[in-house]
This record gives sequence, C-alpha cells and structure tokens, in this order.
Amino acid sequence: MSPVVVTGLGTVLSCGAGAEALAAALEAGEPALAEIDRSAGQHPPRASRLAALAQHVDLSPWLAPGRARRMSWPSRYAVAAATLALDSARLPAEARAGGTLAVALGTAFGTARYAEEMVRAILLQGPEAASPFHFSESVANAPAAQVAIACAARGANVAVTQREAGPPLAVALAAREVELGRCDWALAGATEEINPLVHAVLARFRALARPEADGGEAARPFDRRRTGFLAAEGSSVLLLEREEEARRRGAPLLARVRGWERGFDPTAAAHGWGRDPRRLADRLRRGLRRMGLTPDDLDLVVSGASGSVGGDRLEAGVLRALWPAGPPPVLAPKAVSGEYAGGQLAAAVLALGGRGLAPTAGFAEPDPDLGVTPWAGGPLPPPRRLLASALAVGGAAAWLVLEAA
Amino acid sequence: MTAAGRTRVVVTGLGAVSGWGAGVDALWRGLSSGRTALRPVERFATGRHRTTIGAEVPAEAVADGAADRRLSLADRFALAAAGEALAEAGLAADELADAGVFFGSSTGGMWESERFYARLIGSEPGRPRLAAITSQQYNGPGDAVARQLGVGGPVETLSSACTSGALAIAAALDALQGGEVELALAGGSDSLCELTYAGFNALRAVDPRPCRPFRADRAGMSLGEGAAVLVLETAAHAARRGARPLAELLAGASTCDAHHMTAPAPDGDGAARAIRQALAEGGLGAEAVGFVDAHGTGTPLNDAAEWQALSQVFAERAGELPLTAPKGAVGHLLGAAGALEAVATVACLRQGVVHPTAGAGPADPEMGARLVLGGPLPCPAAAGLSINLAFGGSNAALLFARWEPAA
Repeated sequence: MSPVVVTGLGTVLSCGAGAEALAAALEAGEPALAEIDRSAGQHPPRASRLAALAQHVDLSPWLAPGRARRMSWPSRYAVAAATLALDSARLPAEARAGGTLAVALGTAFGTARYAEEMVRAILLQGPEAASPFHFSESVANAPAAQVAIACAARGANVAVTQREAGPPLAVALAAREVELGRCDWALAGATEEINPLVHAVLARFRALARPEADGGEAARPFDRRRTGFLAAEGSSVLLLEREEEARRRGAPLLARVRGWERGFDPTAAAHGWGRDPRRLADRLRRGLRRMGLTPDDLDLVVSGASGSVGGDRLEAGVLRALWPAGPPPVLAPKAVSGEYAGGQLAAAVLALGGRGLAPTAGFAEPDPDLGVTPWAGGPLPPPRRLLASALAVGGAAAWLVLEAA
Repeated sequence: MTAAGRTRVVVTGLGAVSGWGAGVDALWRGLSSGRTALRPVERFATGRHRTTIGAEVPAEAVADGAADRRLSLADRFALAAAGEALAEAGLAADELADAGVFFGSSTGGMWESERFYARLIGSEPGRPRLAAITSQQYNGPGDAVARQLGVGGPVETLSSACTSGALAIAAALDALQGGEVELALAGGSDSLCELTYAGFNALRAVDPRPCRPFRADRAGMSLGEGAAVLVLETAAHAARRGARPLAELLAGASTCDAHHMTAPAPDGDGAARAIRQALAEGGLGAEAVGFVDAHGTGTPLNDAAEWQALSQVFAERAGELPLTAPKGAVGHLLGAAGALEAVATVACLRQGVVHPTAGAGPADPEMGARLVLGGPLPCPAAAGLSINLAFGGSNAALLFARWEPAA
C-alpha cells in the first residue's frame, strides 16, 4: 500500500483564516482571545471570561454569505477550512472529477448553539417552537455533511466525537480510507463551536484558565501556575492522499502519516483525566513498534498539553514513561491555538515545514511534579519525524506520527 | 486470512437493550412476533407533538442503583448490552486489557443534559447539578463501557446520526483487520430525549401511528431507544480461546450522497455504492446475499431511496430477496440503529429465518419487494446484508456471513 501524505492544510481559527495566520500566531506566541458573552448569568463568579472565538473571521472568500446563513457555525468553519485545504493542495473541483473524496471531522460538542436554542425553545415555548433547520444542523455530523455537499465528497463521511482525541482519530480514520483505496482523497480534522453555554459549563467544571492578577487569562502548558485551558472554536482540516499519486500530480508534500496509535486509560472518570500514564505509554510504545519505530526515532513532540491541571500531568507522565532520560523538544501549541478546533493538529503539520517552532507561549515556571519542560530555547530546526499527542477527558488517547515526506 | 488476504473477523457475542426489554432473546422474540413495542411515551409529555408513541426501554431492563444514576440512560443501555455480549462470548474482564471499544451515539446523555439545562434556565425546579451531566458527551456510552471493563485499547465514538452504530462496527473491523487489536466491542447506544423527539416532529418526519416500513401508505418514522453490542474478534483469536463464532463479519462500507442534509438521494446511488463496496471487500457476489435487513424508517423518501439502491445492486433479484426492517417493532434507535440491526442480521443467520417487518398493511406494490410479513420466513442464507442511511447523506452497509471454518 502506498503511504498516505498530507498535501493540504486549511484553518479557520481565532487568529484568522489560513495556515499562515496560525503559523504567525504560533511564532508570535500570541493567542487571539475575545470576551465570551456571559449575559445569561450561567458562568460561576471569578471564572474565565475569554475564549479563542472565530466568528469575526471573514469566510466570504470560501463560503458565500447566502450559503453560510443556512449553516451552523461549525459547519461554516468546516466548509471554509476544507476549501482552504483543497486550495492549498492545488486540487480544484475539476481535478477531483471522477475521484472519491471522504470526510472525517472530530468535534467535542457538536453544533452547541443550535442544540441549545432548540432545547430552550422546547422547554420555554413548547415542542411546536422547535426549528427543523436547527434540528438538521444540530447533529454532530452536520459539518461533515455540509463539507460533503460543498465539495461533492461522496466517500465515507464521519463525525468522530471523542473529545480532545477526536482530531487525530479523525485523521487516522481518514488515512485508513485512503490507504485501503476506498477513496482518492480525504479531508480530515476538526471543527468546534464555543457558545456561552459550553464555555460556562467548562468553567463550572473548572477546566478553563482562570483570570490572573492582571486580569488576563493564559493557558500555561506544563507550567506550575497553570489553571486550565483556553476554549477555542474554528476548524482545522488536512487533505490526505496516497503519496504515489500526490507525487505524480506534483502536489505539495506537507507531511507523511507514518502511523497512529490509540489507547484508553480506564482510571479516568467520565469528566476527568486518567491516572495511569504508564499504561498509556506502553500502548504508545506498542504502536511505535507496529510502525517500525522506537521513541528515539522521534525528534519532536507536538503535545496536546493545554494548561489543564490534570491533563498536563497525565501528558507529562506519558512522556516521562516513554523517554525516561527526557523527551525530545516538546511544543505545546494549544497555548496559542486553544483547546478544540484542531489547532494542535495544524501546528504539527506546520512544524514539519519549519513553521511555528517557537517556544511554548505562557510557559515560564517549570512544575517540579511534572518533570517535563516544553521547548523554551531558540528556533528549532524542522523535525524529521514528530509525535502529535492527544489525551482526552474521559480516558481516550490518540497519537499520530507524522514525518517529512 | 480470506482469499483476498484479509484477516477473518468473527462475531462471538451479542447484546441488546430495546423496547422489548433487556437481552437479545427478548429482542428476537419481539421481532419474530411481528408485533410492535411502540406505545405511548411516558418519559416526557408528548401531547403537543404530531405523535405520542415511541419504543421506550422498560425501566426494569437496566440497572438503577444509586451509582447507576450517575450514568446517563444511554450509558446504562450500553453497559447492559455489553455485559450480555461479553457473557455470550465467554469473556472475562481480565481478557479485555488490550481490546478496543467502537461505539456510535447520536446524542449521548442528551436526556440528562436537557434536565440540567431546564434547571439552569429555571423552567424546571431544582438546582442544576454538574454531576448530572458528567456523562453528557457523545462519547459517554462508549467510554462507560471501556471504563467499566478496564479496556486499554482504542476507544472511538462516531456520531454520524443514524449510521453511527454501523460505522462503529465498520471501524472495529478495520482495527481488527489492520492488526491494531484482536478483540473489540462494537455497537451503539441512544436514549429518547426531547430534542430528537421534537426535532423529527418539527421535520414532519414522524408517523402518528407505528411506522410501516416499505408499505404503500407509510407516513413516517417512529422513535425508539436502546443499545446493541457485538463482540468481534479475529478468527485466530477466537480459535485460540475456543470461542464459538456466531457469524463472520465480512465487510463494512460507508459512503455519502453529498445531496441534502435530511433527504436521501432519490436514486439511492450513495447507498448502492456502499453495498457494492461491502460486497467487493467481502469478496462476495451480489448473488451470495440471502436477505437484506434494511434501514426501513417508514418515511416515503427513505424507503424509496433504499429500494432504488437495492434495485441497482441486485437488479431483478431485488424482488426475490427477502427484505425486512426492525423499526416497525422497536422504532428508530438513531445512533444505535445500525448496531441493533447488525444484531438482528446475525440472529437471522443463526436462526436460519428472517424476522418479519412489523407494521400494518401490504408491501408497497410500486416497489415489488419481497417484504417479510406476518411471521418469520425460513431462509438458510449464507450471507445477510444490513444497511443504514442517515442525515447528511451518510450511508453504511455491513455484510455478515454464516461462519464457515476454512477447509
């Protein structure tokens, strides 16, 4: 079977549309945050007020406003990001004629705004007030379906809903569809919406970064002072295809999907993080063996550490168990991209091209309990092969190994 | 390995929770009876809806201790079905450390989230307790199964509306054939909630009477709830531990219509491509399929599109193939529908009969389908096909065969 490569990358995140906007934000170490609407009074006192919101991003170059109005926000983000990915892969519609395109998108919360509006209408006005439009867009696979309609994608169409592990799981699923020849190309990644209710509930679970003394909020991955993550919305989409065909058509080769591993830590509560990093590390080591690799073959970790108190502890434990003498350089791009919407996945692809390899934003004080310090030095050389790690609330874990193609 | 070099994967355990209660036996008896478990919904008020019926899981069918109530209903359905499937497979918890769990759910713990939200906005009395929604996520049921069983392998939840359960089974098959795991639990779980009930009512997709798949006067779907789980393992793994295969899972395939958000493509092309892909990957010709367990929601558009797909793939033989659909008996289980129908397909293969299609009236003469009506139809088929269609144009096909050890 021909290896699978990434030939396109599209992002719509709070920092703007297009991978260049994300690369610039990562290099500047500056998350783009905005005030979340707390007027419903659902947030607890002294909770997070900020999120990496994306509704201000102009999507009109990739999605006509008239069509956008007939979509939920996660669908809009996904269609725009998918179009950007196809554009960057130099794969226009006419080049796709006769071929099959699949779609796999991860989402943690689905189309939260429409689902909330619908439930609110039912509860306050009665079931007659339920909107059929809101209902059809409230299903978790609505964004993937809208991408399929927009891009004539007639291959598999799947929404992966495994919280923080969703984006790499979607890439793994899509890569398998491509590898097995079930489709010619696959769009894979994530899309997410952070509405005030989701933000308030995350705040109630004490998952979000809390305001600091200066009134600001920061995700501080692996830092002793971390209090939580920055919730992010938007979409990140990769285009995957078989390497042989990508080379034949002269497509940009952004990365090769060397393989993936998935695991689960059953010590995790439904709303918490696992406490058995060794078991996850054993699983990852086994996966690397299946790929014909050892931990020493990896020269960069693009970590899913987000500033979460428990999540970063688990992540650090896995890295320490895998590399007892210390891991290779560790980047934690969620300090800039925020949690959800696949920014970490996009950052991993960018890293292979030598972009966004900056010190981890928000990190200053190592946490002695973690024993892992993210990269804080000068610019790094582009890695040969990297590990993108994604551990999830509830116990799931997914890892991708990407390498230079 | 198959002739095509693929690893053979077998089903060694089945579990189900449905409107007929707990257990595959209860489901099979209900399906075989030709009667329906659809009845007035009791969980919430339905007086202002177009329909008032649904196939609710009887309260006594799932665990209801204090600890269980911290789980969502969908979680509890999933745990009950998984427990039954594992017992039939003869697997103990200590054999599951490296297993995978692949689950479909379209709403997870939405019912519990609705109650939380009602209290949050003051439309119901009481304090909104976070504990009530710790398992709210789509991934709640699959994670609950993995957590309870101490699974350490891949855990993946897919939420592609009504194909979710079938896609989860197909994903498990890929993981087994790809060498990632040797043992997996695959299935789906969903509970009735006000969002989906009101949503399908708002779309005018529901029939006030119990749904009547493939009938001329069909007028919409009926909702159900529940869970179904299959234990899947490589044939080599099953042989090593002396497990008895119930059937072989030959293939799982999925496609998309890319046509409309809620309506299937009328020509059935997407579903036909999924069926053809499943046949190709399973190494079977269309003539080897002995019966079809259809999605059969009872909506005019779905059943017509499905029939078009079957006509494309099976040509003249489409009218000879026994065709059945469980939704007239148990309603539409949404994210669990594909899993429950997979269980029904395996049960048909094991029993050598095809269960009838509950619902009143003769088959739609426009179609010319050989709809199984009245009672079980003897059908010692070598292979059976289960298909599902979903919102967003997602299609899935699962191909099962009677287990035949290699000569």
